[in-house]
Amino acid sequence: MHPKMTIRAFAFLAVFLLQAALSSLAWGKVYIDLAGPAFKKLPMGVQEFKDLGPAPRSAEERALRESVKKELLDAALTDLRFSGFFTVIDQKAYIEDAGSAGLTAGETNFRNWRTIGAQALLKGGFLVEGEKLTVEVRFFDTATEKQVIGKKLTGSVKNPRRVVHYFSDSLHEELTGSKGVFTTKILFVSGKDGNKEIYVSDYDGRNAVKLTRNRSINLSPQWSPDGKKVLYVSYKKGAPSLYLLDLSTGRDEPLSAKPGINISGRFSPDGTKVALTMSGDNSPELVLLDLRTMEYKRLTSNHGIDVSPSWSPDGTKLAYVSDSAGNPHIYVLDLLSGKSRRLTFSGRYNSSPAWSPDGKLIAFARSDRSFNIWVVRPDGEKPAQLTFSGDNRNPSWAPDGRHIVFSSTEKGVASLKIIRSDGTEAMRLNTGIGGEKAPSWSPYLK
Amino acid sequence: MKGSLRILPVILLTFLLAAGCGKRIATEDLAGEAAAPGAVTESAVVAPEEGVVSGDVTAEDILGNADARIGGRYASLSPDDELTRKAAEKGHLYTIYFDYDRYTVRDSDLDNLGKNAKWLGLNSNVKIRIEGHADERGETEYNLALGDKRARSVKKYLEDLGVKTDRMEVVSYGEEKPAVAGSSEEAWSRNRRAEFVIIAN
Repeated sequence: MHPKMTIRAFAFLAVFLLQAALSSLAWGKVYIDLAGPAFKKLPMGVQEFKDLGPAPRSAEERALRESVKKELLDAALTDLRFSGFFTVIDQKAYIEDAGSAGLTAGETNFRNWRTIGAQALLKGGFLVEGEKLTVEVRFFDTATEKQVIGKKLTGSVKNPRRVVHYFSDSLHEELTGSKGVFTTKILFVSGKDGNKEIYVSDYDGRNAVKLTRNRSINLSPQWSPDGKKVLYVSYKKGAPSLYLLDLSTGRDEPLSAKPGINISGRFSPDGTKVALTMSGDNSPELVLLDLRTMEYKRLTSNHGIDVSPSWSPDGTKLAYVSDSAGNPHIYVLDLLSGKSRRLTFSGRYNSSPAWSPDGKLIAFARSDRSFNIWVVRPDGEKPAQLTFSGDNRNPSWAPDGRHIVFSSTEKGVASLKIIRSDGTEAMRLNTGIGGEKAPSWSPYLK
Repeated sequence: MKGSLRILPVILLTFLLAAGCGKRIATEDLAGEAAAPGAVTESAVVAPEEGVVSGDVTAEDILGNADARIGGRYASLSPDDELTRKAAEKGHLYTIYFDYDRYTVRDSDLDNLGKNAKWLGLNSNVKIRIEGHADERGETEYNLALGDKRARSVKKYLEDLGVKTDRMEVVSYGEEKPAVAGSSEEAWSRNRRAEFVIIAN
C-alpha cells in the first residue's frame, strides 16, 4: 500500500505536512469529507483488546475479564462499522498475534497489516482493578506507521462499552472535525412487559434501562435540548397528560394535565417552550406552553386534528401534521407570521415530521399501504423515499444529522432501525427488550 | 365477593341520589345492610333527567317496581331490553363504530346512539366515560387526537339529544386499547370506536 493512496483516502488537510515537519510526534488533523461524493470505505484491522493485568486469581475474575474483553471489542467493531468509514477485516486473516504483539506503533509490525490490506489499525488494552476499568486505545495509519490518536480512559467494569464509545467520539472528531454520536442515547417505548413504558439505551441499542414503571400507558418520549430531561405522555392519572422526568434527580412531575388530551410535546431548541397538542373541550390544536410563565398560547384553530410538531433548529417554525385537507399531511407553521403552509400533497397518510439538525431537511413517515421514511426540503421540494420494505415510522435524527432512527415493523415484529440520511446502511438495534417503538435520538450529551 | 362488587354502584348511586334530591340517605346504613337484597333494590330508584321526563317523576313511576327491572339497578327502555342488560352486566352502553380516519357518526350508528341517549335520560344519575379509540394503522399521536375527536363528536351528539355535559367524561386511548387483536380489516373496523362506560359517580 503506497502512502500516497492513504493520503488520498484520508484526504489530509494540506497543513498536515507542515505540522509533521514541525513535530514528528504530533499528528495533524486527518480529514474525512462527510459531504464528499460516495466515500470509499477503508479496510482496517481491529485487534483484540489485551488484558494488561496480572493473571486472574479466580475463575470469577477470569470470567469478568473475558466479558470485559468481549464487550470492548464488540463496542469498537460496532462504532467503527457505524461510522461508515471503515470495513473491518476478518480477524482470521490477521497475521499479528494479539497475545504477543505490543500496543504501540513501535511494537507493531505494520507490514503484517498492510499485507492483509488494512489501511488503518485499532489496538487496545485494558486493566481491571476492582470496579475500575482502565482502557487504552490507539488508532494507527498503517501506511505512515504512525498513531493517529491514542487515549487512556477510565470507566467502570459495569459498562466497558461506554469507555469505547468515548474513544470513538474522539476518533470521529479527529478524522472528520465534527462530533461523533457514539455517546448519545435513544429513548423509546416498549410494551414488552405488559405495559407501555419508556426506556433509554445507548445509541447502538445496548444498555437499555426502563425509565417509567407506572404500569399505565406511556408514550412519545422526547429529550430536552440539554439532554437532562425527558418529556413524555402518560396515562398514570387516567387521562393522557404530559410529564417531565429529570434524568439526574429522578424527579417526575406533570407539565401539562388539562382536561382533554395533552400530547405530542416537543421542547423548543432553546428549551424555554414546549409545543404540544391539546384538545380542551374542542379540537386537538397546537399550543405553545411558555415554561417560564406557564402560559398557553394557541397556535392553530381549524376544527380538525393538529399534532406532532417539530421545531426548526432556529426555533422560528413548526412542522406538524394536520388533517385539514381531509387526510393527514405535513404543514409548516411560521411562528412569526402565524401562517401555515402545506408541505406534502401525495400519500394517503403523512405523519411524524422531524426537522434535521442543520434545518435543511424534514424527515417524515408516509403511507399508502404501509409507512416508509421520507425526507423533503422545508420548501416542499425534492421529496425522497429512504425505506422500501416493512412498516417504518417515527423518524428521529441523530444530532450529527447523518443518521435517522425509526421504528420498523416486519412480519408483526417491531424494532428500531438506524439508516444514514441517504437511506443506506440500515442497522437494526438489538436492545434486548423487544417491541421497540417511538424512538427519540438524544442531543450530544457532553 | 361478586355480590359486594355488584352492590357498590348501588351504594354510590344512592349517594348521588341523596345529594341530587336532597333526601337524606345515610350511606353508612346502606353499607351496613349491603348484603340484604331488599335494601339494594329499594335504593335503586333513579330520578329521570329533566327535559326527558318531569323532574318530579321517578323512573319507578314510569316503569313500575324496581324489582321487575333487569338487574334491579337501571330503568329500562322496554321490558328486558338489550341495552339495560348490557349496562347491568357489562357496565357499558352501545359502542359506536367509525370509518377509517373519520370522526363523524355514521348513519348506521344513529339508532344505537339515540338509544344510548334515551337510556341516559331515564337513568339520570348514571355518569359515563366516553372512550375514543383508533385502529393500529395510523400514527400513535395522530390516533390519540383521532380518538379524542371521535369521543367528542359522540358527546356532542348526546348533548344535542338532551344528555347533560357534566354527566359525560371524555378520554382518548388512541390505538392503545384495541377491542380486538389482529391486523385485519375485520379487527380494525371493530377497534375504530367510541365506548360508553358507566362510571360509578
